[in-house]
Amino acid sequence: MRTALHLAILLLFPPLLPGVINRVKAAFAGRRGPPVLQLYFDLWKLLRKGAVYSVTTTWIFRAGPVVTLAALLVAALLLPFGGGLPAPAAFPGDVVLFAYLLGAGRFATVLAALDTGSSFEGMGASREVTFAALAEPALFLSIAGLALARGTLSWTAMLSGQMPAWHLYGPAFAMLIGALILVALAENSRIPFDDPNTHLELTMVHEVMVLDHSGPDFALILYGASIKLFLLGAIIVRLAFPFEASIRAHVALFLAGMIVFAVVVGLVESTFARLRMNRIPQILIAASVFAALAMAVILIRVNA
Amino acid sequence: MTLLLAAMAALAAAAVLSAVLASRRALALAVSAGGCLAALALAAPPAVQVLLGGGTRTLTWTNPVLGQQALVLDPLAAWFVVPTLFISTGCAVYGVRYLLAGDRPVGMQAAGTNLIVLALLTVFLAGDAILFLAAWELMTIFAFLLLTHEHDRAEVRRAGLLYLVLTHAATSCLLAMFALLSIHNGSLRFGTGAALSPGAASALFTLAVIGFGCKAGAWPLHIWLPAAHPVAPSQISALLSGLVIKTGIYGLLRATLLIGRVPMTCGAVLLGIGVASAVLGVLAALAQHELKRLLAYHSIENIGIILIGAGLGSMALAAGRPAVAAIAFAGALLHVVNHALFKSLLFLSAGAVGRACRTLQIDRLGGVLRAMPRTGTSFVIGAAAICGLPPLNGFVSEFLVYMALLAACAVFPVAGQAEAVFAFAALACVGGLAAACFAKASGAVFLGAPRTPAASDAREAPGAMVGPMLALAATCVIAGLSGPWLLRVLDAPVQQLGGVSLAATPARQGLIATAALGAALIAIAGAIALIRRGLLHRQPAESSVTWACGYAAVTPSMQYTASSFARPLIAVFRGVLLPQRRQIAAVAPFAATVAVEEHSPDPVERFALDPALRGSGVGLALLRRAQPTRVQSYVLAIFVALIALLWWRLG
Repeated sequence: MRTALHLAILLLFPPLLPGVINRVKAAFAGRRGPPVLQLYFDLWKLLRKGAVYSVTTTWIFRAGPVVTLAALLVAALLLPFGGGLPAPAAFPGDVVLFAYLLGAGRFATVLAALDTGSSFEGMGASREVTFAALAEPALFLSIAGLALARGTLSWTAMLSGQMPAWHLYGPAFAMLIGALILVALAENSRIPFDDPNTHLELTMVHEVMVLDHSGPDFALILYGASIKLFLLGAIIVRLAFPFEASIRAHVALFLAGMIVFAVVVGLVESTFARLRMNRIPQILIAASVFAALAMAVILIRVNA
Repeated sequence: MTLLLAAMAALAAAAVLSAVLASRRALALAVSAGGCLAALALAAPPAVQVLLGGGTRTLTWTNPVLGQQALVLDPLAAWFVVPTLFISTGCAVYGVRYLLAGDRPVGMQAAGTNLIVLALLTVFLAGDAILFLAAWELMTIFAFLLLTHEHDRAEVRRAGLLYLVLTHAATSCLLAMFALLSIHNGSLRFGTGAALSPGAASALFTLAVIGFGCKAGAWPLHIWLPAAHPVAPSQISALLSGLVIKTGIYGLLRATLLIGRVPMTCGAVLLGIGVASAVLGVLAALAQHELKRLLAYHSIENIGIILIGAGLGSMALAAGRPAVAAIAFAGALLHVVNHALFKSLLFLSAGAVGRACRTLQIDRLGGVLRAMPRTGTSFVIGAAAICGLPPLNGFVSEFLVYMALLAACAVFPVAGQAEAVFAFAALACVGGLAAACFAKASGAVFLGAPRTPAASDAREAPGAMVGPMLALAATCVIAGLSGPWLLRVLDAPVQQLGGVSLAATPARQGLIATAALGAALIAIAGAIALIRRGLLHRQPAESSVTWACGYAAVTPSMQYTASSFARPLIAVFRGVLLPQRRQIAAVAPFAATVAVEEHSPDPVERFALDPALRGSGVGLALLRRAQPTRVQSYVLAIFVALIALLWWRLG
């Protein structure tokens, strides 16, 4: 039953988030903006369309979106959506599998982009792997900090019942949330790392890698991107709202938290400018430093 | 043990036979491959039995000069013997067609392959120091002979000599280590856990790290490796990178068993060397322009990951945490086998590409997957495996190392905790960089459009070369999904090293769950692929050219190059890589030549090896000047030495 609810949230909810973000951005710009459910309509339309394939592409290009989405879905099975909704699969060390599944999805997307032979897509792929490699230490240091503070190697135990842990490690957790927000923005190609609305291929990161995908393939990519945003957001929301309640109230609270997360992303996108490309590595290294500081605080607390 | 001896005899017989038949090239190579296959069939069953059942098999004899000698098949040895047999067979089979395509004599390669496998088996089975060192020496020499196959090229000779000199220099440390150990034990036989003082244990461990680390390719003694691997025939590169450098890891683990209690600081130093090798190895790989050289640097990275596991295991034992040690050693041991599998796979497919396109310069290739679908698919699987991506085998061993590091964070003393956290973050960065590097390598070589005519003329390699690659690729997938079974075969060697059963640690659930979720990943991907096919079934898929933002006259040379692909990361890490840039900038509006070149020579080579070689060259030149030129002076010197000796002993 709980697994069914977990899967239902996982499969149905994520496409709402980009809609919320776009509405917030539109409100800031004084526009009405697209409907909140726009991504659902787009997906439905794309799924019924045919596809165009470049003559240089091979099976790698066709497998890219499939593998990426599959990896994200399996990663989602490892994440709890609250105390009442533990992850369907939890075991010691699942945090590492989670991070590597994101990596597997990225690898498939990057290879599919390189398969087109387009210089623009190669450029986007190059940026994507660069930022991902630099974001990796921040993500893993955050994971190590949480693991040490909570004495567990599994997401489900790490992200539930952490009210007492907040009392002990509050400042460290706040820094971890900062680092994780930076990682989430970078991994999901949001401002200030990448502008999802840009129309100039030269300046794109993630969007340019999927230029050649069309029809159902593109639907898989858009759906996967919303799930990725949802997953990294879910970690932050669970960490930032450590409240426990009855399962019904809990689900409502979690989903409300996710909407708040989307609003925050929208606010960031409306108020920040995009960074220059050569600044991005510095910000990502700063995220690692944040996480390392949090880790140091936790180490001192644990040994005290 | 009889079967093992039979396998060794088969290898020796195949070596003799193929040397005799050397003039009939195809037959000699087939005999050599047959010898390896026979050894696999004969020796694998007893080795697997030892792994599954634990226990030790011993064969002892008395040598009139050296006393008791022995061949010992214990779980640790068996763990290294099994991949040796499997991978050497693959390499030998691949080598038949690979070498026949060239026009050089093949007798040395045919016989040498059998003999190096024989030497490898003896290294793993040796039960005393003399036998070990003798086999070690033979292995080094055969490796030298095999890798200098194309010895008419100067760079090949240079790489071979560098290998020979460096590994011999390191072997002197091993001689010292075994000598000291046998003085302490009063015997050359390998025992367990000599009760040494911490100082003596540290000294012996340092000697072992230098001696074995050089063979393994640990930073900063790795310098022979990126020189030697690219110039060897590909199946020899695979053999060197997959098996020969692993003898360094085996030796190190054996030495920790012989030394017994290794102090915490020694483990910490080993962990530090592991982190340095992993990070600097993958960064150097990123900056390479030649495919086999890139792969060679990845060997250094992976040796680093193995050393992180081994060092952490020693630290955990010293800290009295055998459960952490068990997970760490399990990760190291499993990564030894996994790296042997995917690195030999990658070298074999790189060799096939090199044969088909006559170049391995990454920026001259492209689109090879179209012409060589099976080779390309094998390479991509190997690339995903070496990046540690689930559901392939590389992930399982890296997962164990990560888990051991996380577990160590919780239980180590403060300094150890900090180092474990640092290694954890560094390993994460290495994972991201490896993915970047292999996206570059597989993307630029196999995907997109061919950049040169050589790349567009490529033809798929013959079946005898593709077969071993596909077998290795399949093994990478299967090994990634067989966590519960790995738990069983790993148990005996892990217990030998760490003293605790792996099944008693959290790694048990981890191994089972990662295998199950790996299978789930494949199933979900299959389901999505089916849905996609169903959706596209209704609409015909159209073909077109790649979207170039409206530009119509696109040529393959406009593709993003591998060098540009790696450029942002090289720019971030330029303080470590010290890239050298040569540029011919455009001076006039219609400049005839515009060029830019960037190379990142190995800093160790630039700042340590080259000055040392130059310095010793100057010193030796001085010595040569002092050397007498007449024979009479030599006779006089010998006479004086003899008189002095007689006077000293008798007078």
